[in-house]
Amino acid sequence: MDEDKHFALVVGLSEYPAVGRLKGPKNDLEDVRAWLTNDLKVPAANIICWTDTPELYRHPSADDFYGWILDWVEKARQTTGRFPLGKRLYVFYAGHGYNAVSTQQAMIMPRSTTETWNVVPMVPLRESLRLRAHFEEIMVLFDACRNQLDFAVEPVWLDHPAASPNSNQVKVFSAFASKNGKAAKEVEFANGKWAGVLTQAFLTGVKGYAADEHGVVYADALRKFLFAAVKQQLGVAFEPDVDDGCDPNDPPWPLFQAARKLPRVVIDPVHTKQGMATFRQIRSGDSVPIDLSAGPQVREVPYGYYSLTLPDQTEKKIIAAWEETVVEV
Amino acid sequence: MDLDHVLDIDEGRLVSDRAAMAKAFSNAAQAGKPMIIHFHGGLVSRDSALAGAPAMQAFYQNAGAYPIIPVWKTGAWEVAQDIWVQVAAEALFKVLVDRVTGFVHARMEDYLGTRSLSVERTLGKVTDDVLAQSSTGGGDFTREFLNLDVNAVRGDADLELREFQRKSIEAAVARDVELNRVVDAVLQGANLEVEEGARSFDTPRAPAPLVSVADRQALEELHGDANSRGLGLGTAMAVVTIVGKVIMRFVNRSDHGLHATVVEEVLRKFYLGAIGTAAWSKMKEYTQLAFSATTPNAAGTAMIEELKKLPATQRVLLAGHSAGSIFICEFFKHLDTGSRTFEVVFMAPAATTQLFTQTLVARSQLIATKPGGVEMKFRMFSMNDTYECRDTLVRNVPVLGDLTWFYPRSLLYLISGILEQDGADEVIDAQLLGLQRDYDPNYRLASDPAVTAARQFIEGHGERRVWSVQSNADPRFQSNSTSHGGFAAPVAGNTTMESVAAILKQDW
Repeated sequence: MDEDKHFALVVGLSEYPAVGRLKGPKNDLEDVRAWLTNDLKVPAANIICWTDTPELYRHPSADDFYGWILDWVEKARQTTGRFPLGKRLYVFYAGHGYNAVSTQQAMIMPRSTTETWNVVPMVPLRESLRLRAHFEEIMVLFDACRNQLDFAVEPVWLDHPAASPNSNQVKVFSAFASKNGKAAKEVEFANGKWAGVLTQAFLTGVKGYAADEHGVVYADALRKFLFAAVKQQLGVAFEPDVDDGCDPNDPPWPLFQAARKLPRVVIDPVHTKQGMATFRQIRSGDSVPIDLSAGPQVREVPYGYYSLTLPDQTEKKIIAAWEETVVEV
Repeated sequence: MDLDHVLDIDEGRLVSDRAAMAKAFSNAAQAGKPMIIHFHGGLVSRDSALAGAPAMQAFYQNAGAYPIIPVWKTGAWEVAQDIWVQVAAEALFKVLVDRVTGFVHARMEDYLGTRSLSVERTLGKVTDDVLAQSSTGGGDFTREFLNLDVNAVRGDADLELREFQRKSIEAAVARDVELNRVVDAVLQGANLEVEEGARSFDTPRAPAPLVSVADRQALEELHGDANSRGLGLGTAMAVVTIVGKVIMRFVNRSDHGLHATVVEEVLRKFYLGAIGTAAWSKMKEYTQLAFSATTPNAAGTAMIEELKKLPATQRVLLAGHSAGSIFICEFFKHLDTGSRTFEVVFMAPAATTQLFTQTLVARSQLIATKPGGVEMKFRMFSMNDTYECRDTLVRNVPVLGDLTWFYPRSLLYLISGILEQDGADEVIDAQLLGLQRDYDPNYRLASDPAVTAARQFIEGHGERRVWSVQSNADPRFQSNSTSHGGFAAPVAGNTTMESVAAILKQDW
């Protein structure tokens, strides 16, 4: 990877005087920054992090986003090339969000009140970046709610760049924590740390759980992984909204390299201690017998959806994405 | 009325014959038996107390004692239960409990990990069955129904409603056709018709008025808000206020579980008069009037006068059930009987810990002691918190049976929640002597001087309290009472009363 050509804007907002505090975004910000720095080796100078700034909470604001874009425009003027500023731009957002009636998912800045809104619509921001084609690739992660609010303002985005001739070649990967009209969740993870489910799923995937046997995390694989990981954590009623930005007829888009890790499924016969069960990968249909009388058994499997058919023919659905899944039968 | 055993007291005045009272006390002394003065609770009408007096008298006589049974009129409080039945049946009450529960739950859910600025209901409908399950189960909604643990949200100021959440609730209530039509109908029923323009397009005028026992002042306030801001927003303001108060009780750890707290705050907003807050205060005032120098023929003062005439060796046991304990606290406040001491039994006492510590604890030298002069002849019987939470406030209503959907916990919880007042100020989660939760070292006011003193007095000496249900080889330490009203029932099988009988028979 050409690390010094990777850039990032990481926004993690926890304190909102008019909305209420979130426990996770500051942790999300730190985890993403650590991953960019330690795993991807992105130079620290290429990473901009914004968190809420007490005590008036006036920053970041929508103006800061415009300023950030104008900084890129200024830098682009001083250089040339099809994608003059770099290989990839990451935009991470963790904080409060909503979805306006126009289906614009928007970030809410901490200074917002019910009378004076200060919001940034994510998709127009992303399109501003894509149309300029300063970067060859863009990755967007929006870990915020998309509830429809009938009292909310329609977000206004005042940046309207002309489309660069290369904008159509910019590859864009977008992941939103939920579908339009749905909430996003943060939870307390096993280590006692609150964090956004989408962000943690993303980091888990890119660190190897979404990688193939060659240690490559492809965009379409990451998309599938995010669905599995979010559903495993929150239940099947929760579903992220992910666009892997790929023409399905094109070769897959390699995003990252990371040694492959396999989720562990622990089948623990607590109630059914005898008989043969069948562990089956739903997509491929591949199955293996499990002798329940042998006690707890661990299987390392590729992420995905599985089923376990018990001796009495009852079936348990299993999602395997995170490090370990314990299934009591 | 058997004037040898029964005293008739109205608003603190002795209305039965004074000379007969003197004779009754004299009889007790001559009988050579322990005397027991039994003060009944507050939700007992004069007629039913009089009707029940012979059974109580016979019970204590069988225990070898000479009973004196003051029947004291507790005023409007006596009929509070009749009005609660009406409140419980009201559409306004039911819809408010459902909506407030839904919004508070949504806020809790958000607090536990949703990155939304709105308050959006995910909870199922709070039906009569759900309420009944709460009431007859643990005294709160089940974790399965809520899909969250309310203990995980308690005590954190971050739970408090913020501007966006209030706005979100306002928006949801404003478009809640069912709720707004009920409010419209109730206002019509109170002759407070809202102006035509106050109704939104999708909320047509309620077709028929509903007569409500809600407080007139609360309805007038709602009517004013509806006319000035629109029916939906006027209703919303009331709902947001209730939701905010319920949430603040969780923040301040003064909640009584979600279900009971929601009911208490709905009652506080709309039914404070109907629920009997003023009547409860008045009833307590009557116990004070019984000892007032300005009360003609003050019953308490008269009893003290007669007690002074008794021989020093006469055993006198004061027993008080529920509000009867308040009468005994006042009794102790005014005792001037020299070196005479009294044995005391409280059953599910409704006295506040503050009143208790200011009276019995402060004047504990007036409590009789066992030989040796150390162990006091004091015992309190009350429910452990599990049963206190599981008790059903309103029981045995004709046709309806137990009103399990009305309020999920005991009378003591209701008194603690909304009935105690400090002058004109509301008191939330008042500390009551009979509530076991108030003795928990982790209770929010555990370090309060009155709570500490009560805890040291009651919990510091195991023989001074029996938390039901409790069996014991010693028949003076048993209690199988699982309802507030059941403690003082003079019936075979009620081991609380059998314990009192054993105390009378065997001494302490």
